Amino acid sequence: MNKAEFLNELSFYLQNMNDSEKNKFIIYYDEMISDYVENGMSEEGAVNKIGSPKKIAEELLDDYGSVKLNFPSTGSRWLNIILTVIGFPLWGSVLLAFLLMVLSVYLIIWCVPFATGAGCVGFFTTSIIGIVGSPFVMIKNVPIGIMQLGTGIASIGISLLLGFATIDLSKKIIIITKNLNIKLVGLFKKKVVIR
Amino acid sequence: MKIKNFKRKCIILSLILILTGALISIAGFGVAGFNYNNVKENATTDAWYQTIHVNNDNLWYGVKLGDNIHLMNIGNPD
Repeated sequence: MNKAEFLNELSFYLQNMNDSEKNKFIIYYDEMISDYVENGMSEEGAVNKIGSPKKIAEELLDDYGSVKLNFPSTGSRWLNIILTVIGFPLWGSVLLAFLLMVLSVYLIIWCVPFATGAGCVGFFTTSIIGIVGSPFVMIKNVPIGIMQLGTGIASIGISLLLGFATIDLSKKIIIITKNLNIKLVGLFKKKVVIR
Repeated sequence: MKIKNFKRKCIILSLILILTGALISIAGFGVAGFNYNNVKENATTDAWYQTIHVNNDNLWYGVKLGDNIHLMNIGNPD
Protein backbone atom coordinates (compact mmCIF):
# COMPACT_ATOMS: atom_id res chain seq x y z
CA MET A 1 0.00 0.00 0.00
CA ASN A 2 1.43 3.39 -0.98
CA LYS A 3 0.96 6.74 0.79
CA ALA A 4 -2.05 7.88 -1.27
CA GLU A 5 -3.88 4.59 -0.69
CA PHE A 6 -3.09 4.69 3.02
CA LEU A 7 -4.35 8.28 3.39
CA ASN A 8 -7.48 7.52 1.34
CA GLU A 9 -8.31 4.54 3.53
CA LEU A 10 -7.66 6.50 6.70
CA SER A 11 -9.90 9.29 5.45
CA PHE A 12 -12.63 6.72 4.71
CA TYR A 13 -12.50 5.18 8.18
CA LEU A 14 -12.51 8.64 9.79
CA GLN A 15 -15.65 9.76 7.97
CA ASN A 16 -17.58 10.11 11.25
CA MET A 17 -15.08 12.71 12.46
CA ASN A 18 -15.60 16.36 11.60
CA ASP A 19 -13.58 17.63 8.61
CA SER A 20 -11.15 19.89 10.47
CA GLU A 21 -10.19 17.12 12.95
CA LYS A 22 -9.93 14.56 10.16
CA ASN A 23 -7.68 16.81 8.05
CA LYS A 24 -5.44 17.36 11.07
CA PHE A 25 -4.82 13.60 11.35
CA ILE A 26 -4.44 13.15 7.59
CA ILE A 27 -1.79 15.90 7.47
CA TYR A 28 -0.07 14.38 10.52
CA TYR A 29 0.20 10.90 8.94
CA ASP A 30 1.12 12.43 5.56
CA GLU A 31 4.06 14.21 7.18
CA MET A 32 5.03 11.11 9.14
CA ILE A 33 5.25 8.98 5.96
CA SER A 34 7.17 11.77 4.17
CA ASP A 35 9.68 11.86 7.05
CA TYR A 36 10.23 8.10 6.82
CA VAL A 37 10.71 8.40 3.02
CA GLU A 38 13.21 11.24 3.47
CA ASN A 39 15.16 9.00 5.83
CA GLY A 40 15.54 6.46 3.02
CA MET A 41 12.58 4.18 3.61
CA SER A 42 10.24 3.21 0.77
CA GLU A 43 6.63 4.47 0.83
CA GLU A 44 5.34 0.90 1.30
CA GLY A 45 7.81 0.31 4.10
CA ALA A 46 6.77 3.53 5.86
CA VAL A 47 3.11 2.61 5.57
CA ASN A 48 3.79 -0.88 6.94
CA LYS A 49 5.69 0.61 9.86
CA ILE A 50 2.80 2.95 10.78
CA GLY A 51 0.25 0.12 10.71
CA SER A 52 -3.21 -0.58 9.37
CA PRO A 53 -5.31 2.55 8.64
CA LYS A 54 -8.39 0.79 10.05
CA LYS A 55 -6.69 0.12 13.38
CA ILE A 56 -5.30 3.66 13.57
CA ALA A 57 -8.76 5.11 12.77
CA GLU A 58 -10.37 2.96 15.50
CA GLU A 59 -7.89 4.23 18.08
CA LEU A 60 -8.33 7.84 16.95
CA LEU A 61 -12.12 7.54 17.03
CA ASP A 62 -12.01 6.01 20.52
CA ASP A 63 -10.13 9.04 21.82
CA TYR A 64 -12.22 11.42 19.71
CA GLY A 65 -15.54 10.15 21.12
CA SER A 66 -14.42 10.41 24.72
CA VAL A 67 -14.54 13.59 26.70
CA LYS A 68 -12.89 13.80 30.06
CA LEU A 69 -15.26 14.85 32.82
CA ASN A 70 -14.00 16.03 36.14
CA PHE A 71 -16.26 14.74 38.89
CA PRO A 72 -16.01 16.34 42.30
CA SER A 73 -15.35 13.85 45.07
CA THR A 74 -15.60 14.02 48.84
CA GLY A 75 -12.58 11.76 49.15
CA SER A 76 -14.58 9.04 50.90
CA ARG A 77 -16.10 6.29 48.79
CA TRP A 78 -18.96 5.63 51.26
CA LEU A 79 -19.82 9.32 51.52
CA ASN A 80 -19.95 9.50 47.73
CA ILE A 81 -22.39 6.56 47.67
CA ILE A 82 -24.58 8.09 50.42
CA LEU A 83 -24.68 11.46 48.63
CA THR A 84 -25.57 9.73 45.35
CA VAL A 85 -28.45 7.88 47.05
CA ILE A 86 -29.69 11.05 48.79
CA GLY A 87 -29.49 12.96 45.50
CA PHE A 88 -31.51 10.28 43.69
CA PRO A 89 -34.78 12.29 43.63
CA LEU A 90 -32.94 14.97 41.67
CA TRP A 91 -30.77 13.02 39.23
CA GLY A 92 -33.25 10.10 39.10
CA SER A 93 -36.09 12.31 37.89
CA VAL A 94 -33.83 14.00 35.32
CA LEU A 95 -32.66 10.59 34.09
CA LEU A 96 -36.24 9.30 33.95
CA ALA A 97 -37.37 12.39 32.01
CA PHE A 98 -34.49 11.87 29.57
CA LEU A 99 -35.32 8.18 29.08
CA LEU A 100 -39.01 8.95 28.54
CA MET A 101 -38.11 11.67 26.05
CA VAL A 102 -35.93 9.21 24.11
CA LEU A 103 -38.74 6.62 24.20
CA SER A 104 -41.27 9.17 22.94
CA VAL A 105 -38.95 10.14 20.06
CA TYR A 106 -38.67 6.46 19.04
CA LEU A 107 -42.46 6.01 19.33
CA ILE A 108 -43.17 9.09 17.18
CA ILE A 109 -40.67 7.98 14.52
CA TRP A 110 -42.03 4.42 14.37
CA CYS A 111 -45.69 5.55 14.35
CA VAL A 112 -45.52 6.29 10.61
CA PRO A 113 -44.49 2.80 9.35
CA PHE A 114 -46.76 1.24 11.99
CA ALA A 115 -49.74 3.19 10.60
CA THR A 116 -48.95 2.26 6.98
CA GLY A 117 -48.39 -1.39 8.02
CA ALA A 118 -51.71 -1.51 9.87
CA GLY A 119 -53.41 0.07 6.84
CA CYS A 120 -51.81 -2.54 4.57
CA VAL A 121 -53.03 -5.46 6.71
CA GLY A 122 -56.48 -3.89 7.14
CA PHE A 123 -57.00 -3.21 3.44
CA PHE A 124 -55.68 -6.64 2.45
CA THR A 125 -57.93 -8.53 4.90
CA THR A 126 -60.96 -6.45 3.93
CA SER A 127 -60.24 -6.97 0.24
CA ILE A 128 -60.08 -10.77 0.60
CA ILE A 129 -63.32 -10.82 2.63
CA GLY A 130 -64.89 -8.40 0.11
CA ILE A 131 -63.95 -10.38 -3.00
CA VAL A 132 -64.89 -13.78 -1.53
CA GLY A 133 -68.12 -12.43 -0.03
CA SER A 134 -69.23 -10.41 -3.08
CA PRO A 135 -71.13 -13.30 -4.84
CA PHE A 136 -73.17 -13.89 -1.65
CA VAL A 137 -73.96 -10.17 -1.41
CA MET A 138 -74.92 -10.11 -5.12
CA ILE A 139 -77.65 -12.67 -4.40
CA LYS A 140 -79.34 -10.15 -2.07
CA ASN A 141 -78.37 -6.87 -3.75
CA VAL A 142 -76.62 -6.84 -7.12
CA PRO A 143 -75.34 -3.21 -7.15
CA ILE A 144 -73.78 -3.50 -3.67
CA GLY A 145 -72.28 -6.89 -4.59
CA ILE A 146 -70.60 -5.43 -7.70
CA MET A 147 -69.40 -2.37 -5.76
CA GLN A 148 -68.01 -4.69 -3.08
CA LEU A 149 -66.09 -6.66 -5.72
CA GLY A 150 -64.70 -3.41 -7.15
CA THR A 151 -63.66 -1.97 -3.79
CA GLY A 152 -62.13 -5.37 -2.92
CA ILE A 153 -59.93 -5.30 -6.05
CA ALA A 154 -58.98 -1.65 -5.43
CA SER A 155 -58.15 -2.50 -1.81
CA ILE A 156 -55.59 -5.10 -2.93
CA GLY A 157 -53.86 -2.34 -4.93
CA ILE A 158 -53.96 0.06 -1.97
CA SER A 159 -52.60 -2.62 0.40
CA LEU A 160 -49.71 -3.34 -2.03
CA LEU A 161 -48.81 0.37 -2.15
CA LEU A 162 -49.03 0.64 1.64
CA GLY A 163 -46.92 -2.52 1.99
CA PHE A 164 -44.12 -1.03 -0.13
CA ALA A 165 -44.39 2.26 1.76
CA THR A 166 -44.04 0.34 5.05
CA ILE A 167 -40.94 -1.54 3.86
CA ASP A 168 -39.25 1.62 2.50
CA LEU A 169 -40.09 3.71 5.57
CA SER A 170 -38.95 0.94 7.93
CA LYS A 171 -35.58 0.67 6.14
CA LYS A 172 -35.04 4.42 6.39
CA ILE A 173 -36.18 4.59 10.01
CA ILE A 174 -33.92 1.65 10.99
CA ILE A 175 -30.96 3.74 9.73
CA ILE A 176 -32.23 6.82 11.63
CA THR A 177 -32.70 4.71 14.80
CA LYS A 178 -29.17 3.24 14.48
CA ASN A 179 -27.62 6.71 14.08
CA LEU A 180 -29.67 8.01 17.01
CA ASN A 181 -28.54 5.03 19.14
CA ILE A 182 -24.89 5.70 18.30
CA LYS A 183 -25.28 9.38 19.26
CA LEU A 184 -27.09 8.51 22.50
CA VAL A 185 -24.49 5.89 23.47
CA GLY A 186 -21.81 8.47 22.59
CA LEU A 187 -23.29 10.80 25.22
CA PHE A 188 -22.49 8.26 27.94
CA LYS A 189 -19.13 7.17 26.48
CA LYS A 190 -16.98 9.63 28.35
CA LYS A 191 -13.89 9.11 30.45
CA VAL A 192 -14.62 10.03 34.04
CA VAL A 193 -11.85 11.48 36.20
CA ILE A 194 -12.61 11.78 39.89
CA ARG A 195 -10.80 14.67 41.51
CA MET B 1 -35.83 -16.57 -10.52
CA LYS B 2 -35.25 -12.87 -10.04
CA ILE B 3 -37.84 -10.55 -11.53
CA LYS B 4 -36.36 -7.35 -12.98
CA ASN B 5 -37.78 -4.11 -11.55
CA PHE B 6 -40.02 -6.15 -9.22
CA LYS B 7 -40.99 -3.13 -7.13
CA ARG B 8 -41.82 -0.98 -10.16
CA LYS B 9 -43.95 -3.75 -11.65
CA CYS B 10 -45.79 -4.24 -8.35
CA ILE B 11 -46.53 -0.51 -8.12
CA ILE B 12 -47.87 -0.51 -11.69
CA LEU B 13 -49.94 -3.62 -10.88
CA SER B 14 -51.36 -1.98 -7.77
CA LEU B 15 -52.31 1.16 -9.74
CA ILE B 16 -54.01 -1.04 -12.37
CA LEU B 17 -55.90 -2.85 -9.58
CA ILE B 18 -57.02 0.45 -8.05
CA LEU B 19 -58.26 1.74 -11.42
CA THR B 20 -59.98 -1.55 -12.29
CA GLY B 21 -61.61 -1.69 -8.86
CA ALA B 22 -62.80 1.90 -9.17
CA LEU B 23 -64.30 1.17 -12.62
CA ILE B 24 -66.08 -1.96 -11.36
CA SER B 25 -67.43 0.00 -8.38
CA ILE B 26 -68.73 2.72 -10.72
CA ALA B 27 -70.25 -0.02 -12.88
CA GLY B 28 -71.97 -1.42 -9.77
CA PHE B 29 -73.40 2.01 -9.02
CA GLY B 30 -74.41 2.16 -12.69
CA VAL B 31 -76.43 -1.05 -12.27
CA ALA B 32 -78.46 0.87 -9.67
CA GLY B 33 -78.99 3.61 -12.26
CA PHE B 34 -76.60 5.96 -10.42
CA ASN B 35 -79.41 6.41 -7.90
CA TYR B 36 -78.53 6.06 -4.24
CA ASN B 37 -82.12 5.12 -3.30
CA ASN B 38 -81.90 2.06 -5.57
CA VAL B 39 -78.69 0.98 -3.78
CA LYS B 40 -80.45 1.28 -0.42
CA GLU B 41 -83.24 -1.08 -1.51
CA ASN B 42 -82.79 -4.58 -0.03
CA ALA B 43 -79.54 -3.42 1.56
CA THR B 44 -78.56 -5.49 4.58
CA THR B 45 -75.72 -4.72 6.93
CA ASP B 46 -75.69 -7.75 9.19
CA ALA B 47 -73.53 -10.11 7.10
CA TRP B 48 -69.88 -10.38 8.22
CA TYR B 49 -68.72 -10.91 4.62
CA GLN B 50 -70.24 -7.63 3.48
CA THR B 51 -67.81 -4.73 3.10
CA ILE B 52 -70.10 -2.07 1.59
CA HIS B 53 -72.72 -1.10 4.16
CA VAL B 54 -75.72 1.16 3.72
CA ASN B 55 -77.25 2.40 7.01
CA ASN B 56 -80.06 4.89 6.55
CA ASP B 57 -78.16 7.70 4.83
CA ASN B 58 -74.65 6.46 5.72
CA LEU B 59 -72.50 4.52 3.30
CA TRP B 60 -69.37 3.00 4.82
CA TYR B 61 -66.64 0.55 3.83
CA GLY B 62 -65.32 -2.08 6.19
CA VAL B 63 -66.08 -5.37 7.91
CA LYS B 64 -68.52 -5.47 10.81
CA LEU B 65 -67.39 -8.17 13.24
CA GLY B 66 -69.81 -7.29 16.03
CA ASP B 67 -71.49 -4.36 17.76
CA ASN B 68 -69.05 -1.47 17.45
CA ILE B 69 -66.28 -3.90 16.40
CA HIS B 70 -65.07 -3.14 12.90
CA LEU B 71 -62.14 -4.29 10.78
CA MET B 72 -61.33 -1.21 8.67
CA ASN B 73 -63.82 1.58 8.79
CA ILE B 74 -64.05 4.22 6.10
CA GLY B 75 -67.20 6.26 6.46
CA ASN B 76 -69.69 6.47 9.30
CA PRO B 77 -70.86 3.08 10.61
CA ASP B 78 -73.25 4.60 13.24
